[in-house]
Amino acid sequence: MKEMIRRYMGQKLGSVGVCLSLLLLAILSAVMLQAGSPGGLTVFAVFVLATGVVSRDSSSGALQMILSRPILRVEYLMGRYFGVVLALAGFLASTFVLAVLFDRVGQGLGWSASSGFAVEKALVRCAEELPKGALYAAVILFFSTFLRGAGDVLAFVIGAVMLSFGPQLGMFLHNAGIVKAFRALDANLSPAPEWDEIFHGALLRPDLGRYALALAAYLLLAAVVFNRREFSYGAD
Amino acid sequence: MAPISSPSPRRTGPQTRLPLLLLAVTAAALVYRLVTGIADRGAGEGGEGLIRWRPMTSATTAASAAAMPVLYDFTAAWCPPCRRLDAEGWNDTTIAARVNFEFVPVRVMDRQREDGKNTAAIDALQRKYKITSFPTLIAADGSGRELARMEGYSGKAALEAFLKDAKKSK
Repeated sequence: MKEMIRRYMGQKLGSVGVCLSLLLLAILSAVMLQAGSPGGLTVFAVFVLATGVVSRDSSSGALQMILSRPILRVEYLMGRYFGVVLALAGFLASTFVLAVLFDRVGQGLGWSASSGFAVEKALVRCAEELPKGALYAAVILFFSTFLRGAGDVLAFVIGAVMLSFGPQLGMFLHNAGIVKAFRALDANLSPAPEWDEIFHGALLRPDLGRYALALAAYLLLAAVVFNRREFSYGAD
Repeated sequence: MAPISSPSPRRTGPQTRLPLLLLAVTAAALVYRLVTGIADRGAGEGGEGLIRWRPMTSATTAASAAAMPVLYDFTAAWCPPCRRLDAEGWNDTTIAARVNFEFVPVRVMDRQREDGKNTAAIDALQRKYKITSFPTLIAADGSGRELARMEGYSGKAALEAFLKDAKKSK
């Protein structure tokens, strides 16, 4: 699996476009972090890192070459997934370092003496983004095992939009059942635990339970679907 | 002449074996989900009603960004008026729509009676807004300044009036 992670990192970070996109996102995230708002750009970093995470290899024929070696398909899949998570951790670390750097430079120039930027708080905010991003990456990985090209990210976006508009449709129709059904779907398919509380030791939280199950289920489903697929050269 | 045997399809070969570790991790996650669900049974935290409760930690930031007040619902699992508020107030589609669109709703569940203590964040929030009874609704702006307060629950009409006032006083 280590080799698969290395391969993914080489593939992604060897691309100038990807590196530039991540750098731009890290700068924007750092500015947002300085202003105290959570790094809402993480999802875009995941898009950059995970789009076509499996499907691109499949369509280029690289996957067939890799699978001609005696490795488990799951090893390849998990290598891709942990590659994305590792790269995301690097992105968040860079965001944090940039935010601190901007603050120091701002203070040096006398701009941000009263900005209220707290290093510890910023670190927690960045740390909170990693498990969120890991879940997004697992969903995209799952879609990438059976959708072509950037279809994985498209499916992720469509799913997210449906989950967020469903309850509003229920409200509009004055139908509590629709609202509750979509809320339940959202809570289980896209759980968003309070990471701050969890980092402070509140481990028996139902939202954390939902998160752990959703993450494991997406990875297992991805593995099952990927194992059942037939790949042929250039036909995907 | 011996027949030429075609290679068996890849997807049935050993390459497609699911490692035990992955299955074990999923099973552990399922057990953990059940345990946390059981541990939380009766606490009434989170998903009840039609309100989309937001995390406590990011509420003020979200309120500042959206220029909306935060609506704190200080509640407890053992408190009967809180359950009435949940059943009548937060389950009403008109009220829920107003809360979801005009406020950043945050549910602050007191666990003093069940666990003997609250988390530091809940304690700090209860001290800040001088919470002495449940339910108490507090509307606050992005900086945390209290805009309006409703103690106890005396029906849907009072709740609607409070929400209207809270929005106006921003």
